[in-house]
Amino acid sequence: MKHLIFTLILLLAILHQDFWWRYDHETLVFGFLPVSLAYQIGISIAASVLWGLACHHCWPRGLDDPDGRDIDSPSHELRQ
Amino acid sequence: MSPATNAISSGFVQLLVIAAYLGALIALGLASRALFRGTAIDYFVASRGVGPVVLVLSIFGTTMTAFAIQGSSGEAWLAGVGVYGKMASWSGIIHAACFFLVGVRLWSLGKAYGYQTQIQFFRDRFECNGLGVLLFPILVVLQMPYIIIGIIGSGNMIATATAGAFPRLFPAEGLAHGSVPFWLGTLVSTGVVWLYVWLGGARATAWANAMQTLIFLVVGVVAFVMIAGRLGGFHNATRSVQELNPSKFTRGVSQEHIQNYQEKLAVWEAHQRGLQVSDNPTVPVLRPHRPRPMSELEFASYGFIPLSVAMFPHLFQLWLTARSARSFRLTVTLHPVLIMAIWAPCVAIGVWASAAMIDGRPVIPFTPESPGANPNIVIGRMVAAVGSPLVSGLLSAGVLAAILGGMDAQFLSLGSMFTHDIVQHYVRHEHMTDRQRLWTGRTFVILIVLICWLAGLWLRQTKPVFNLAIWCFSGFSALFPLVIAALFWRRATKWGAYASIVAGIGTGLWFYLRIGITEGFGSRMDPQVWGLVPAAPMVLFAAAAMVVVSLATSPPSPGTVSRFFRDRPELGP
Repeated sequence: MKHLIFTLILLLAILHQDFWWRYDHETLVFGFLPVSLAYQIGISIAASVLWGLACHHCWPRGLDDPDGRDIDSPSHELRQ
Repeated sequence: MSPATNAISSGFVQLLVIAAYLGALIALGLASRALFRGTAIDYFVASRGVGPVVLVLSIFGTTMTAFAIQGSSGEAWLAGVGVYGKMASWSGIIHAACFFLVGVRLWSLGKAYGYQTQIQFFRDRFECNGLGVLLFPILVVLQMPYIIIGIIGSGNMIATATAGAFPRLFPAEGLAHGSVPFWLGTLVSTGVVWLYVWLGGARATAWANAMQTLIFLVVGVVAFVMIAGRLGGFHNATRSVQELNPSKFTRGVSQEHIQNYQEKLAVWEAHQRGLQVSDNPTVPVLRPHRPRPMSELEFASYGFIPLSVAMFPHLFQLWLTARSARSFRLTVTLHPVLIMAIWAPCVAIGVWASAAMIDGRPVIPFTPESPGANPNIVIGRMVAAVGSPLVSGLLSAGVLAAILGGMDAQFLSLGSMFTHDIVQHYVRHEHMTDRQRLWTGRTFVILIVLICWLAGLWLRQTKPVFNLAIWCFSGFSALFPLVIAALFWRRATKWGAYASIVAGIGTGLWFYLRIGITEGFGSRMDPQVWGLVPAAPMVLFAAAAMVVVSLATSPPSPGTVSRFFRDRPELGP
């Protein structure tokens, strides 16, 4: 899962280069958004989704204390 | 009521709203003082007790400065929608990566070893006292322009919003007639920021940023909708641009765009000579903008600019306030869409401004080709065009919130650096009482505020906000390889660190001087090197120097490697 998520983030960075709209001033999304702007807004939303997935599936362990437990975790609460 | 009276009322009402907002910030500072524990660690990092919601809002509020508001709309007015992709969506991807890979790890090390500045970390990690001597002036010199950007932004916004408020007291000519003068507006706004930082330190900073972010997000959407309404709706606002300046919707400039420009320019020039050229008398009033292409290489290379957040001292300061590592999760996840929520409306407003007319008059009475054209006031003019003094005042206060939101943490981080990296380390040789650190930090903040304010007055007319920011960001980006190597590469050595800093910053300095000498330091100074943003070669040179020199010199001691890498968390569950 970790590799998949980071591959998708890399792919997103590549898809950011939307040269295919380079001269298109006519296509409007929802009747008022230039297509290249709408596409880049989509990139922002996709970035949020992918980084959210990264936080869920790839979060580094043991950052909260040297013993490797996170202070928000149940084990830490028990230790308190 | 005469138009003149209306103008006076509008400026004065907006002034009252802005004053109320600044008063609210002071009240927030006083409220945070109630929780202030009177210790240096509480002043500088809020006793490391900030939760996820305030953290995401405060980090976001700190990254949204005059650059994001005035720079984005001004640059969109100048160059079109491409500015969103090259700055905002790139930032969404890269900022989140920096928070995920760098921010949370520096927080963890800061908590474990008591670091309060970046230099403390680098001194330990690279076993080198002298690294601080090199790094300190670089960080300060790069940070100060960033603060000055905020000060200039606040002065421009207040002057624009309060136009006509005091025609007898401040009888300046032109657009600034009767407005609160730049020096006074910046003095008051900067003074308020200083006051709440003085009162509550990092906690007041986090709260103020959180409040300012919420204000701006709400007001920004309202501004977007109301400006669109004033321009005849979303469709009409966009169609006007599509007809007059279609190249604003693209990064490329086609033959059709050039032809359209020449035709519209001919119509405008005929109108200027008094010839009847259209049935619609308002059509020829607007002068078209000359199409400006943005190369694909330049667009791609802007991805190097957001790397700067990994080395911003004020973000490091805010990261340290987090209660736990997990507090960062919300920040990493929401940051890209929060950027979108501010940038997309600002870019749209900026693009609309290129063809905006109300009551038969251009909202922006100049074009990028006009002598002395100032893109930084575009957003202020568009907000003022909404027509309701109260709503305009609320919108102006919201924009001001986003501008001031970046300055407080910057004041605090510079105060912390002077206190810990200079006074505590060199003058007192690590022997300072908590009270001494607290008062030294507060004193330095006063000096920094004063110096930045004076510099803001001096630099006001020098160059647009956007370009000043690009140079500043590029410098921080050049330090990205340093922090990445420090965190992820055991073999990185102090000589590699020295080489990386000298190569990255030295390259940037060379580019800056070369462009400045060629184009003039007082000019717009378009930041382009070999068709790239300067940050791209700066980062690459800095990374290459780090790798080559580290491999050529002795590795760090086993004790240091063990301290920073043993039991280091790996990605993934």
